[in-house]
Amino acid sequence: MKNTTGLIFALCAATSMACASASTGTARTIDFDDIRRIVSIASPQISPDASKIVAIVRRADFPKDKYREDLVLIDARTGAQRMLAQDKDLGSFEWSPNGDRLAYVESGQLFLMRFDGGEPLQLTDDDKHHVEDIAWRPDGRAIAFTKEDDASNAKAISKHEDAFDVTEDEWIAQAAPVPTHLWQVHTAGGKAQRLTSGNFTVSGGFAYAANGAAIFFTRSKPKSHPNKYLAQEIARVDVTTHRISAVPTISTPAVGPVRSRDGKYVAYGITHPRATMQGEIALADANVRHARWITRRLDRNVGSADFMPDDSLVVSADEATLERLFRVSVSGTVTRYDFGDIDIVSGPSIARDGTIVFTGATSARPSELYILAPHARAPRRLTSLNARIWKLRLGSTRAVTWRDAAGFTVDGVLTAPPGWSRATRAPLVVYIHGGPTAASTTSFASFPQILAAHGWFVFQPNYRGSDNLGWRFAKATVPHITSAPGSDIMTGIAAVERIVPVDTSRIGISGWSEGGLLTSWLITHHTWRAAVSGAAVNDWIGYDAMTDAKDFTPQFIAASPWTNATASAMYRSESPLTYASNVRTPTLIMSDAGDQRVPTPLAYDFYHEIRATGTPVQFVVYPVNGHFPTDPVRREDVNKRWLAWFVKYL
Amino acid sequence: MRVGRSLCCCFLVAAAFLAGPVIAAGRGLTFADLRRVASVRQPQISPDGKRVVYVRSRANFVKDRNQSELVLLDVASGASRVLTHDRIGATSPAWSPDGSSIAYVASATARKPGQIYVLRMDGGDSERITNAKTGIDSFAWRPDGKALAYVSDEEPPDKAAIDRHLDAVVITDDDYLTREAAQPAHLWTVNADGSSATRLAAGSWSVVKDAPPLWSPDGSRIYYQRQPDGIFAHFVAQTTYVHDFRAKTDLPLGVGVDGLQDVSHDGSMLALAMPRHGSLYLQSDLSVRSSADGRELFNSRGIDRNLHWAAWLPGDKSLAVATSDGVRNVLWTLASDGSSHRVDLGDVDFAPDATVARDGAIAFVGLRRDREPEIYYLPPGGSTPRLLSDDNAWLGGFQLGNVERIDWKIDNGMMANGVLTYPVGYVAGKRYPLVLDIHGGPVSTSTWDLSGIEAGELDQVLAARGYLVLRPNYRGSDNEGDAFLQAIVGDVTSGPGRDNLAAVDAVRKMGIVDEKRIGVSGWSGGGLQTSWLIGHATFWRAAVSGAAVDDWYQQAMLADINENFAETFFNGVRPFDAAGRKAYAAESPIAYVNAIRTPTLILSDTRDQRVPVAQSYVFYHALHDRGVPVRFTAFPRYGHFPTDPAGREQALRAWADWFDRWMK
Repeated sequence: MKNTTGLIFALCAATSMACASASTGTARTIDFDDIRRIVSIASPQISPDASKIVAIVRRADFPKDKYREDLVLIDARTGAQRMLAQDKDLGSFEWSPNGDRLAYVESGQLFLMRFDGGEPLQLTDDDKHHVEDIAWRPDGRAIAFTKEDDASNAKAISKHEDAFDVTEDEWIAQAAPVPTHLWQVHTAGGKAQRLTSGNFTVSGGFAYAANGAAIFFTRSKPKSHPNKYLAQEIARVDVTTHRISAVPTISTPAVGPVRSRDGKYVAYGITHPRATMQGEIALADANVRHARWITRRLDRNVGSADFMPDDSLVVSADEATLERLFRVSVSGTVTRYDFGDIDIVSGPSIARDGTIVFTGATSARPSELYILAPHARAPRRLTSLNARIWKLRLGSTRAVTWRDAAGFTVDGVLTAPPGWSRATRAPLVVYIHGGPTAASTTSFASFPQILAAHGWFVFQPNYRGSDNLGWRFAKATVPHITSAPGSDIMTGIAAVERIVPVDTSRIGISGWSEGGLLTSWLITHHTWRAAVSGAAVNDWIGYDAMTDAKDFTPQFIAASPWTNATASAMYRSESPLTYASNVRTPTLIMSDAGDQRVPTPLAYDFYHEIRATGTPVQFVVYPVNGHFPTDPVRREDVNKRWLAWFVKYL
Repeated sequence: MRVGRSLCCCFLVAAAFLAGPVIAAGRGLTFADLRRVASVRQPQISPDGKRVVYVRSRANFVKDRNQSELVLLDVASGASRVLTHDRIGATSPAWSPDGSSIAYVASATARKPGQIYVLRMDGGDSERITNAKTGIDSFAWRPDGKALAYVSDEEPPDKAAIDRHLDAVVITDDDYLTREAAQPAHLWTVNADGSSATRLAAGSWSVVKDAPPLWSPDGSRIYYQRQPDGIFAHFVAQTTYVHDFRAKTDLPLGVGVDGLQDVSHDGSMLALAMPRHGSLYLQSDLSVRSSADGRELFNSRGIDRNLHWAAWLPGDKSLAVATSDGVRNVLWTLASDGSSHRVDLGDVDFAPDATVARDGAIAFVGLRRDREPEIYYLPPGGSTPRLLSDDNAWLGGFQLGNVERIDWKIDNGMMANGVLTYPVGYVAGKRYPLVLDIHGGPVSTSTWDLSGIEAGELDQVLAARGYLVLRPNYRGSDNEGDAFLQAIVGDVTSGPGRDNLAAVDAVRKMGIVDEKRIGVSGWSGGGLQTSWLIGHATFWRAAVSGAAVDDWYQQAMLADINENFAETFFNGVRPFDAAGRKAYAAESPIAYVNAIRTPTLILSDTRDQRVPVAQSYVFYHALHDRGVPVRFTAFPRYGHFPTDPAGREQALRAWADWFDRWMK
């Protein structure tokens, strides 16, 4: 179960991951070539009998400027790998209930792979619409899936009568949103059957009832725009009659129902009653009539979760400077798994016997696949996809803590230049995460390592609003979405200066998304040696009107900047643009040309302001849509320009 | 010269047509009727004055394209025939100097850039003579007819890197939709048979892309307009350069910012549009200068109207000049002693789209209140134009609302004027709902003719639906001279806002307005006025604010016309300090949303480079959050107004239907 309400704009830096067993020379520091070869492994799913794992392995293909994805089968005992589908456009996949088959999406269509011989069987054939999420019926004879409808005005559009009404749309919208609906197809083949229709969109996360007669699914509230991400609820559709009924969840939003293996429970995602940015879990009976909030004592922003054989849940969540796994019992008691310095990257996925798989990374090792047998004390690493990185001389990474102005003990991650000795003074680069509902952890981070390899300390601060210290901390940024984190970063830098000898005349500040916002903020309030501000929210009023994340400002600042003077003043006073004429720091501004999350116009505003001050500024736009380039070439170009700016000015 | 870069949509282009049903006589126009409009433009009179070639386009709603063709008219007999078939985007016809062939620009397929074709008038198919990778911006025949000069954009120098997706763009004064670095355009010459295409000079500077080069009569020089680089906004720095083939030099004329219009027949004089206040966004006068040293010989300051077009008349003693004046587009002659004479063309108005034959005959697009634009012929020295084309005879069966000029006093003591269209079937003594249809620009004019889809045509559809329609020419309009135009500087929104309210009062005093039903609308600069007026008066029953400048600050940061346009109208004030920001905010509708109660329809293209759609998003959310009835309809297109038939009609229907919904 993935909580879909969090991570509004987490920085998706290129932390792709691993293969290449080739040995390299001795202790060399990391460079961009090394990062190009990092192989990532994600979305592991263990078979019900715990014998094998399926995962997606991604490698960057620079000549084609794409990520090559392979569906890989890994033997749970030996770690031996076998390619199931090579270099395909892969989507969701899921083991059949008894583990004899694997349903997977390739090139937008649903396929069924057997493990006793025979070619994959294609179950859907729709050249216009792609299968998105899938779920097996418990009897293994049918699969539910979601796909987009045709536009309701498709016929008019074909005649170019394609005007649409903008409501909660993002500024780059070119058509009204089209709803996604639930379908079911029999695994023996045949035509897929539509299960839902109407003026709502099925937003991912659905599960069959234990008897297979109904599906509990997540949808946007009828008539609500899908960009209102907090307006999600769970409903039930009868597979035979297609009748849709409301499900009485304990709060809204409610998302992502997951059935326990024995069918006794359905867990679903909710938000903390006092902090909508923190994801929580409710545990309901099989019919989803009564539920309890079971992660109250955990008090962490829940990421992924899966059921154990005893119906307890294993969930992932940030805690201080690691993402960890926790076990939450039916009664809500919490046990923390101790995996040393392993940071959870994806998973968990749990077999019938309680074997857990996940992908994880440590400070010196990009992500690999790990398995934790029932009753084992420590997880076992099953892959060595990134062994070539292990041999490099990396910057050492440690957590640091400090006390902020509000009395919180805040943490962050400090990476020293490779081979740094205590006496050496070095410049500092501050690298700020996005979100804000996210956290910097001590695990291997490719670009901070590149920065450290240039002889700089790298500081990745967490701050009020980060999701690693519980709901009070996550919410402590409200309504001071910018100034409160800004203050924490300043006290954090002071703490770093007390720990290591920073050359205080050479500090660079940088980040993307909320990290860009904070960079823009810090350069309007202080002068630094250099700054890199990526996809920054420079103006909250413009953001509010143009972003696709329509609940963000109501959640973090105030309901509307237009209905009362206090709220309006808060939107302005928390915006870097208000203070932009103060900037004296040489600044590199970057953005995608069509950023739907942090609208590109906000970067134009800030660029013009800095230029007018006479301060050195460069503004680089990537001619793609999205919140960060998704292809390897442009991702690397972002990082290279980021680095070059610091090389020039630090 | 049409600057066409202001906040107006300048829809003189395109219109529509599909063979429709036979019309019942006597009813008013509907949008369905307007599908039949044939739009005519670019009349080119042959050197001997005996023939005219022009571009005619009609809307194809199936392909959603404006389909154009070249049409040949015989001046003596009035006979016409179509010259081109299936030449996509056929435009810019030009007679060869000896009149034996016509060069024009067209594309082989809808996706390919336009190239120059040459069509011999003694038979044969058109022959494509260029293969310019990025297409043709403009061109001109060499006086000997053996070669042509053309302007073509450079390809990106780093094309190989871009192909590998190393395509990041470093932004400076680019607009907010930019996805590739602006490339400069340069001059080329090519032989009339297509051989020897040669680039004349290259550099980071750019030829102004839509300004055709002009040859000296002996073919030894080319005059062209240069701007510092390929970035659109920098056209404001354009100045005339001289490429001299013999001396192998490429030098500025040295007259500062100007707009090149024409070269005298003897080559000794240049006709230039010279901005009176240094800015091409404000009034330009015609300035005739020595081509040898740039010295001014005489000018059109006596006419004191913003120059739209000028051309030399035979003998080089005078020029034909086109401007707006009052609510009309007019023709002047300007003599070398600086005296001017307004040519009385009767009911026909003179669009700045004309050519002069060797004998002084003029072919032009003529405008009337009761006709769609057609091609007219004005004999040498004459003042009685003759209708040549008859492409909109279908209109004859319809009843149009009467169109009149009205005048009123504005608060600086000046008089303003505008166009009032009466409802079809108007009955004296009855009161009618009133709709304002405010022009953009602001430096442009609402004229009383039936041209302009968001002007005369829209107003006639509204008139057919029973509305009185007022198109006010507020201060800043270019129809009453420099002082009237300059009155907007430093008073960019509120000055025109007061003028427009005064215009409503003037019409109210006529006793024909249903006081409870007054609506306001406009596109671009007219959208700005609409958004402003609903924040400054509450009597409006409904508003349609199209592509509106709702926030001058964002306009300056994001638009293709960038900081300079706003600065010009804010009298040099920049928005980068507290005082500047305050000044921009004070003139921005978004600062007054608290006062708005009027049901408002917001319209915009989704990718409007001129008035960034960002402003409509903010304005929509402000009204929506405050509980004002508001609808924001977007057209998924690039540009400042939908130019395709389906998009255009949707926009106009939405516009008119909003008034029906709230005012009927």
